[in-house]
Amino acid sequence: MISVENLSKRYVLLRHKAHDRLLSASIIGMAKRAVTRPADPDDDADVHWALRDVNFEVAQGEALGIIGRNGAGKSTLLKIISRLTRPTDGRVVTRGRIGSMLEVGVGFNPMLTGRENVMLSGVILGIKRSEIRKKFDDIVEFSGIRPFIDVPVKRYSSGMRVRLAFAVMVMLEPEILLVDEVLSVGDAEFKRRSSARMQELIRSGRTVLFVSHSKQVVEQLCDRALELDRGRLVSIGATSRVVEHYSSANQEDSRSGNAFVEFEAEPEKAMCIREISVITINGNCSGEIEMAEPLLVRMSYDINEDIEGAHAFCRIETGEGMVVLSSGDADYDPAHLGKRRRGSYTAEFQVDGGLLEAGDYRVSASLGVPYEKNFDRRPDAVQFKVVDRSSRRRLWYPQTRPGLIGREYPWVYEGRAPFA
Amino acid sequence: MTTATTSNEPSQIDPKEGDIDGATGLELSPEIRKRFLRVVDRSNDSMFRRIHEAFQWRDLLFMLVQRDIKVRYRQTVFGIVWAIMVPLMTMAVYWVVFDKLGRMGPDGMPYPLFLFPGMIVYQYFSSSTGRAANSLKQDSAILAKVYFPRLVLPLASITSPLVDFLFGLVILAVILAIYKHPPTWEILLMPAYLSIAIVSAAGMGMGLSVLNSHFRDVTHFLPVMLHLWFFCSPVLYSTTDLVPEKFWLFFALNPMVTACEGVRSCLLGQPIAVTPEMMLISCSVAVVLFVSGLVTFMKLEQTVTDVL
Repeated sequence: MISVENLSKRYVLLRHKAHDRLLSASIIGMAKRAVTRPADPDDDADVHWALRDVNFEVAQGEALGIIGRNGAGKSTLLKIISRLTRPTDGRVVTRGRIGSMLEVGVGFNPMLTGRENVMLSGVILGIKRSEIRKKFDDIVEFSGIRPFIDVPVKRYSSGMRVRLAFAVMVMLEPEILLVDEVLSVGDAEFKRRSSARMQELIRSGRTVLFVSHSKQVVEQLCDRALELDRGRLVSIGATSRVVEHYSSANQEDSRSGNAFVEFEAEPEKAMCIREISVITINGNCSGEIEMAEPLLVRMSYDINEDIEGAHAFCRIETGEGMVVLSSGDADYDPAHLGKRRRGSYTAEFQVDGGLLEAGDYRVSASLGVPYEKNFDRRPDAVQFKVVDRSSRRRLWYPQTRPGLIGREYPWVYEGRAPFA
Repeated sequence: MTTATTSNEPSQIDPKEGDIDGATGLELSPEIRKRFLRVVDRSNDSMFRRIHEAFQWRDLLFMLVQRDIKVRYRQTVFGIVWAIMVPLMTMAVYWVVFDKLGRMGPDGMPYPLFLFPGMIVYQYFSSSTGRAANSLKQDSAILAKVYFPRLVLPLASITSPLVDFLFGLVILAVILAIYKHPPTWEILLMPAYLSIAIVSAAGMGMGLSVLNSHFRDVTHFLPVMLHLWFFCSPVLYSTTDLVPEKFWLFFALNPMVTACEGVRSCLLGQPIAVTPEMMLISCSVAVVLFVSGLVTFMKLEQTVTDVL
């Protein structure tokens, strides 16, 4: 059981200068705040309220869905409940062990073998060593990487790493479960299994808080739901009602700043887009991708008639509308432009890490016969940001680089170089 | 187990009746209801509770120490042999520079024998402090994603260099054998003196780890300070030989003075080169370092995730 009372969380935004972490800057900052004391906390532009006066209860055994746009405060709420950060005000009372599934692959160290990482990751998640040893075989079976279990993880493909990390994570069996959208990761087959297992966990009678962008999934798994908007609780109650409120509130706002969008089925169209999202390999759909990380563009669509010559097509554009790249599902094989069967499908393509320069991007998607006609079009369907938080270059070139391509290219001098 | 909701008043939270809903499956036994009651609010948990929690997570501490050691020696050709090679090579360098070129050791004792115990103690101290100061930054990834008592990180950092220390003892045994210097029963006292180094490193480590997350100055100034500290400690020389008697009490403000001299005297069976007053001062400083480091950590711990 979880009880959230008057919960608020405020972040003070630090200006990022080259020396923002040094003692000098902090002292100056403190002095500034002392002198220019803001009259009303709401007026202080440097402050961001991630959560404001949130109140709700989750009964024992209930699954509560949390929906809202990016930045609404969903992840912050889970972080506070899982004790990763303290609230500025209010409190949370919980009964029972808390297991949080906020990200896949916590604590994995590339130098250690799969076996060692399973032990380490499990212990970090809070499982006792003896229990991990007991479940070790189950974990390895589930992940499907038995032959590689004693190989250092740096030799694993990203898919293998994610599968192993996920397998460890689902061994958690706490009374309270906090899930941040990690429903399915990995390749198609594993996605099916991981999704099934997650659903099993969520419906197992535990108390669950489930954050998602997908109305469909929330409706399927949760008894009740609540909606957050800019840190405030705007509606709570039966899932269908809350979801309806959320959809209607967000319908007009096409530039919602979301990395995930869902559309109703439209059987009168020959093909229609159902869902578009931009996620990381770990299944994270926060709308922010680290520059070095690969990103996946996922699309779900229905085919309602027998079709020939059509393809699914996506464009990635900058915030200003310049097209960066485009990709279609028939690019690799012309046979894909042949007959297509009716049904519902989901596909994704991966854009390498380190390709896009930091900045704002949007994705437009369409379904149709190339150069002839479109069955369904969703321009600017989702927005995402590429951020540079971990490149080395950023340390001495703090300002944003112009350009679309974020690759680094070494300069090679002929003969002598000017530097030491 | 209830927690204070503000730092001053104890709260009474009684388990409500009707908590157990048979219809939805997972039942909370009264034991779980009571044992796993948590309140999260803007105040910190009591210091005692947090330390107790860190103890409950000792499995994690063990795994982190294992991880440190494995990662350090994996993929090297010599592997674990480096744990032995490094102290030996360092000793050889100091031997040449400080003994052959300018006599610093006490007469009558072979310099390597004199040098080694102090060296491995200081090596433990500087390694622990350095790693602990960096521990929160280094693992900031997991700090932000999963909850565990943060205290475990600096504590793990001061534990793994103990393994290197043990290797050092093995090498020392070999050196004792080479110089035909038999050990005496005083060897058993060694852990007592080593604990001064452990306590100081723990204090420094805990305090610096949180400070480092806020102020990166720590990363810059710590290595230099540890270097200076090395020369202010009787590793290469003996207190009685090099330090004038009137400065002894001041000199003892450095807890490593007693730690080094103590460990040396135990392992070599020599009378200790510090007075009881000096020992008292060193131990007190070690305790002060520990307490202030612990308090700093407890106070700043929660802000770390917001800043990293």
